Amino acid sequence: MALLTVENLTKIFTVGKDEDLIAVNNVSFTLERGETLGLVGESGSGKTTVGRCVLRLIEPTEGRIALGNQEISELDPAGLRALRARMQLVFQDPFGSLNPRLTVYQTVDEPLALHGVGRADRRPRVGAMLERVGLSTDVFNYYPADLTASEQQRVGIARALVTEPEFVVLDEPTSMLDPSARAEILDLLKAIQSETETAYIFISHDLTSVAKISHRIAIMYLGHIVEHAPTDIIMESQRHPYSRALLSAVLFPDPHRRPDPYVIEGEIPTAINPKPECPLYGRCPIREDACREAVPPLVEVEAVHYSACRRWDDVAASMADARGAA
Amino acid sequence: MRLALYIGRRFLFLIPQVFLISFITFVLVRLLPGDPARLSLGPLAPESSVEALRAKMYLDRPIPEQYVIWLENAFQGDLGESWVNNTEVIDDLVHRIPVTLELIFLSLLVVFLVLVPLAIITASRTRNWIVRVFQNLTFGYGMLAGALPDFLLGLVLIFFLFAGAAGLMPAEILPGPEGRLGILDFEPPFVTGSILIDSLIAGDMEIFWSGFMHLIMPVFTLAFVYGAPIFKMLRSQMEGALKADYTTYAEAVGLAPRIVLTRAARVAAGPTLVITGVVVMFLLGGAVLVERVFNYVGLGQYAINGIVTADYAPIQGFVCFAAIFTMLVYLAVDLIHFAMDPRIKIGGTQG
Repeated sequence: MALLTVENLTKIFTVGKDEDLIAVNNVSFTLERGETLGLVGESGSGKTTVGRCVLRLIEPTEGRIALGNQEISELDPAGLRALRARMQLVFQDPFGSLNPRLTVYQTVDEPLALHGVGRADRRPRVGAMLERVGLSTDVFNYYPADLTASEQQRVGIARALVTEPEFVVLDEPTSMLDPSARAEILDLLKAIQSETETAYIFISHDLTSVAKISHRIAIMYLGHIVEHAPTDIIMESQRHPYSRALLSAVLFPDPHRRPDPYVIEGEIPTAINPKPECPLYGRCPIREDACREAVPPLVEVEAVHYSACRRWDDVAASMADARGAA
Repeated sequence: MRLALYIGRRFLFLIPQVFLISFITFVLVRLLPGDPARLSLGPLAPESSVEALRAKMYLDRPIPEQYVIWLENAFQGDLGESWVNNTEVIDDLVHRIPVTLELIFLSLLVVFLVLVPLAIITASRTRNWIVRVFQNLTFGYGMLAGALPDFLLGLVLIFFLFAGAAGLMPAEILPGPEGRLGILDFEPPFVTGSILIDSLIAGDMEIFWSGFMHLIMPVFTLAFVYGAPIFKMLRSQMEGALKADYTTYAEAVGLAPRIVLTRAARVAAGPTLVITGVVVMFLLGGAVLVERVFNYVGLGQYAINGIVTADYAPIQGFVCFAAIFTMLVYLAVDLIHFAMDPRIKIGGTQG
């Protein structure tokens, strides 16, 4: 059984009279123990909302979320609080996510204290955790403002992992760090995962970071998952025009890799009262009339490769052509 | 021990500051147009008697020498004499400072009892109907209080409550703008200068009640107008703290909602405290129009009268008191800040 099961998750924000913003639209995925799922998309694609809904920091409008055989989506506030030790969150803004008035030690100590670990047992655990994320004992009594962004993010990671959660939502944890700090944090997260089997949902718009850490990648557009496959497969061959455009825009530091420009015109449209059609319809270079009839479902078009495009085989063919030409 | 050292150091710094301020004021008031001796004797007095009076007032001597004379007297507790009222400035201050301080502190009390809880409630992210009602109310308040001059509100209140046919309020319930007490009330023996405290000391409940009723209108006016910056600052800071990622985290880790709110309030308290200090210092002289409207003989009026009549000693006395008071308020604000914010270390590098 999967560690985390998310089925038909939908989040609708009412933004005005008869105006519903569908931030997350019928999203399903699973997460295994020790696995990382990368959630990729532009700003406004709903990836952060998915992360918050899974933790029930935002109440989902519809859908089922289960951690093991525990239904998260049906818990009352007290039950949810008790479960908080098993699922955690790391934020994008390392400084903003740390309470400015708690020291490093207090910050990491707090979740343990909240979940009923005795004072004597906490001390070694907090110390070990802080050391594990690479913070020396000198900084234990520092306040967040005294640390560098990278150190702050290490505190954020230590705080999230100290209760030994089964899964952690990493919401763009590296996007505010400089490249060397980014690589260090990614390596740290991977190393911790290999020791503890913690599962991650890694949310980012930075495809190189996502590819580095994720086992599987789900690409989101306008609240939908449009394509979903293991990392090595999806990085090589996309089966959805949106993912293809997204990946063709990434620069990989590889001199043998030929650029493969594939452009989708226009901007991401509004998610307010969307029409029941393919979310990419207005911008898609290979659209056909049938795409307007319904939202295309995410189907397994090749082995372990899911796409929500009716013309996925045309995407595959055009990719093969581009490769052949190069 | 560190705290005592710190406070001691702050007081040490107070001394040169008061000296400097008193000297600058001393020079500046003497640059004001108008000759006090001439003003005092009237336009028809002969030049010789004006000269004689000027000499008696030491005004014929160079300003530094005058200042030294003033300073010598000040050290003996004599802040000079009001030429207009023929009273000792020190006595005037002792009687008028408590009047204004009573107004300021009661207004602050009202702000903290009414507006501070309101700010916290309306900043909260829960959106039930009670919060909504308060939000709509305080939205109007925020707009109004930012635009309304204090004396105008006082006048409007007086008009609607007491003036002629529009007078809605029977004088038996709420007294009109007749000062600190009714016309027939006797002031309690002077101990602290505060009507409320002195009447309690004298055990005179009737006077206490009368003083209390007379305080309602001016205190309400001051709290309404000058509570606005405090209210707005606290609310925006609360909103910011409740929106911050660390609050989301506090919820994600399972902190009880009440603790989440308390923590946000602690973060928001810092800037609010600073603005409160500024408001208090402003009210010391800035409440003068409200004092005037409600017939309160407070400090603000005293200073303004001194300026208008070129009465040097009262101005000098007022400014010196204001300087000392301001520094004490700053010190108090800083000390409360230290107590609340663990990041600030007393006497540390940030100090």
